[in-house]
Amino acid sequence: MAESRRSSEPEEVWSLLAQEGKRNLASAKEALLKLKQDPDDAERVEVLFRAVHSFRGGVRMMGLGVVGLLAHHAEDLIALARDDGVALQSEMIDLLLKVLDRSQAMLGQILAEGHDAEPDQAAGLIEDLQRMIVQNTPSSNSQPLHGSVAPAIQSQPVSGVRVAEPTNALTESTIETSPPAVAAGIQPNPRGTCSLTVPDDPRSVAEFLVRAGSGLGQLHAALDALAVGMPDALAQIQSMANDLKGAAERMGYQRLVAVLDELDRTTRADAQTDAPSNETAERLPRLKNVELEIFEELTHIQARTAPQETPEGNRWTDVGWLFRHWDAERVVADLARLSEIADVLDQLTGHSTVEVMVSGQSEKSAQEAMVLLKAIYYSCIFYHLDQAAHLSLTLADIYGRVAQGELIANDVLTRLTRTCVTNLSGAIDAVRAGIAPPLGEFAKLIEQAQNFMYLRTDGPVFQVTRSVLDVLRLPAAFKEVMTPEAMTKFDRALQAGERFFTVLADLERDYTLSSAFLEWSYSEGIHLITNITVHRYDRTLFNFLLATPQSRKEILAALVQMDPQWQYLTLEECVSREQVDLKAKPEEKPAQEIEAEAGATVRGGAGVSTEVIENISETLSTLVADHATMHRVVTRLADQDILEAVLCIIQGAEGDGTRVHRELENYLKEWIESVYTLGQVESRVGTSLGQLRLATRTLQLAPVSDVLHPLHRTAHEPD
Amino acid sequence: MSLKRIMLVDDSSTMRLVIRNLINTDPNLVVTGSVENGAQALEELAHAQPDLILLGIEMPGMDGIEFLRRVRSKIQAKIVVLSSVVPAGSPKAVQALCLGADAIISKPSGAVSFDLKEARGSELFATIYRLLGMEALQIPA
Repeated sequence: MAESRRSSEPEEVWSLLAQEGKRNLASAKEALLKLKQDPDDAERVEVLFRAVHSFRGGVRMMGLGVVGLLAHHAEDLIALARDDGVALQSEMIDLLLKVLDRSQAMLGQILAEGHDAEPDQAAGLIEDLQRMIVQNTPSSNSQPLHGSVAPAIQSQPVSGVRVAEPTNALTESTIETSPPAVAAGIQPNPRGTCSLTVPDDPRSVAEFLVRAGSGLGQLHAALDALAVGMPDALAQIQSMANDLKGAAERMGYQRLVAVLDELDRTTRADAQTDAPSNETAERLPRLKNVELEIFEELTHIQARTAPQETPEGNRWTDVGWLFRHWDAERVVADLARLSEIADVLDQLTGHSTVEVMVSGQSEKSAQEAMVLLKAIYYSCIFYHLDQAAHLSLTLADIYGRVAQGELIANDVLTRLTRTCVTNLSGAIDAVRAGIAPPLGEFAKLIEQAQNFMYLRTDGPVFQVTRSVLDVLRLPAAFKEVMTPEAMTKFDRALQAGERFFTVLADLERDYTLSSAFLEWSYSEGIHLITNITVHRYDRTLFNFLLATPQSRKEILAALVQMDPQWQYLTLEECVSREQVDLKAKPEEKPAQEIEAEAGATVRGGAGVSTEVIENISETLSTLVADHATMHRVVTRLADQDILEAVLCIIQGAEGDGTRVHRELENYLKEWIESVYTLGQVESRVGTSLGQLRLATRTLQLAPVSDVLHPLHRTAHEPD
Repeated sequence: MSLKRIMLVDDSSTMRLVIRNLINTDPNLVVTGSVENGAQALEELAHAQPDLILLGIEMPGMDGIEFLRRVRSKIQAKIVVLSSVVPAGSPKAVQALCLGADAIISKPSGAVSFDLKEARGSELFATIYRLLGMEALQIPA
């Protein structure tokens, strides 16, 4: 159905766009009439293309789908003359003149009536344009793809037939479910798989890309048609998908084949169910996603072929060329949607309940953001905004990691995203208006995006973990690789009073050694906390941090057994920063001597036992862990707006009392659990504080020597 | 659930060993290929028939970026870039993403743990399961 959009637009904007539309139509018509005299005037073709392109952009902004669709096809036809060297024949010019006249008429009617034109007003002309585009597309006309590629294919196995022998270790079931072997390489291949080691014939690739680019254009036009209520478009999409799939199979582009397969399946299912038009809204985003996937596959195919390998310069490897066949206009909608996602993420992170985390909503939104950012990236490339493109892809990377759960979205990210949207919109608007884009901010934004990973570790919880790590003298790099899991292990070991060691290991030289070492590191009593990679000269070493109740001697013995020459493994004990007088008293010094120095009145006496000191450090570890828990729970609770959540539940249930009850109960259950956790932690903190007070009193009452002695013993238990 | 085939491409034999050990703890996964660089990987692909490739970036011979560029559109196997030199947003990560890596995991910051028990719930397995459309498998620690 034609949509009424006029009422929603401010009158002034509408009138400006309409005037601009009329101007563009007039310059297009002027160019066409001159081209009728001199069809080879390339500059004039460029003027024509730009005028129609701008017209299409304008009517799209006005929300006029039918006129936009007509203009889109006209643009595709002109593009053949501009980019593919197709001569503008007089019948093409006549058709384009008709299109311009009809567009002008429709625009006038729309202005008078206030709503978009009906699809059938443009249908006939669109068909004529499509026919002419197909007739004049180089790959489907002068050099049919089937003809040029078929001879090479005949000697190839049929696609889908498994050709490589399975390895012995695998069962029948594996073989059935493995992906079908790539069978349709262009070059004969003794292994029977795709021609991965042999480059593709550049001409075939170029032909394929021209054909695929045109297919992408058709798909885009069909999606536009679908959007304005022309259900026939489904059949068009299906036939395009099938057609391109055949060509992709012959070239061995497996990923593209899979995407097209999916497109074919969904459109066929949709066409068969004869879905009513109100389902278009649901179907369209999915199809648009597939559209992006196809586009991306084509860019990957382009990337396979280096510019020097192509027969006609680097045109086929130019993403912009492909993009024009697709949709450079979508960037406006993409940026708007990205902004919406930032809002959604803000809400989600503000209410980070268990339900939200389990439902994976943040991840889903992040996934969508990543796809949008990739599309925005291509738009930036198209508009020659290199830094903006870099920024988009950097953000896409971050959102991809949020979608994977590797990073967590927070307000820093959403704020950054909004700033990026503003800057990207500004730059793109400027380019489209033909003025120099403001680029000053991009370098800074890229840096901010790159820093995001480090920014997120600035939270109080991470500061606590870092200060815990500071207990030991560790290489700084260990702090960078500590995950919450590693921290938990570290803390557990600290509480258990285990010793910490680092083992610098050169494991690349000797397979037996590396196997033995890894096996040992998994063994009972050895707790691997984390590891860092160390580059020394041209070698890559691993530095492992481990905790163990075993003594240094035991660890040394185990290592010497693996590495008798002491060539590849270096053991270092991690010492505590707080230890007393470490330099003055080397560890080899016998305990008796220390006792003598300390004025040995302690042993067995009523003074301070080693236990007191151990208790203090244990209590402190518990306190640190509890503080982290409390911080987490309190932040979560503080961030929840109960009233809003309850209102949401009530509104969302639409009067369903049972549902309100159930959802409220679930919501409150989570709340009560948090409070319960807090209660538990609070009581533990109380106990810890009591223990600390007791220990401090004991220490206060004891002579200094009584304190020093057990401290040293704690650090250096006799091996 | 059917067995999924994994191929490892990394110049560090230790890394390959560790990942192989990790993957062997999962009855649904099997390592069918383990090579040092992109060039070897190209040779080995036909034999390994992987469902998923774990790909290092900086390797002598053919690096991960070049490998990605060459094979991305020609194979159905999912490709996970696994590297210590690709923190989020770094130029290499961006390049890998641009060339169609299905996921990028930074090692070893917890993603590839040498601790088998911890690694069961790690990002590596989560990513493999997600990309291959498998249900997460619970293995008691």
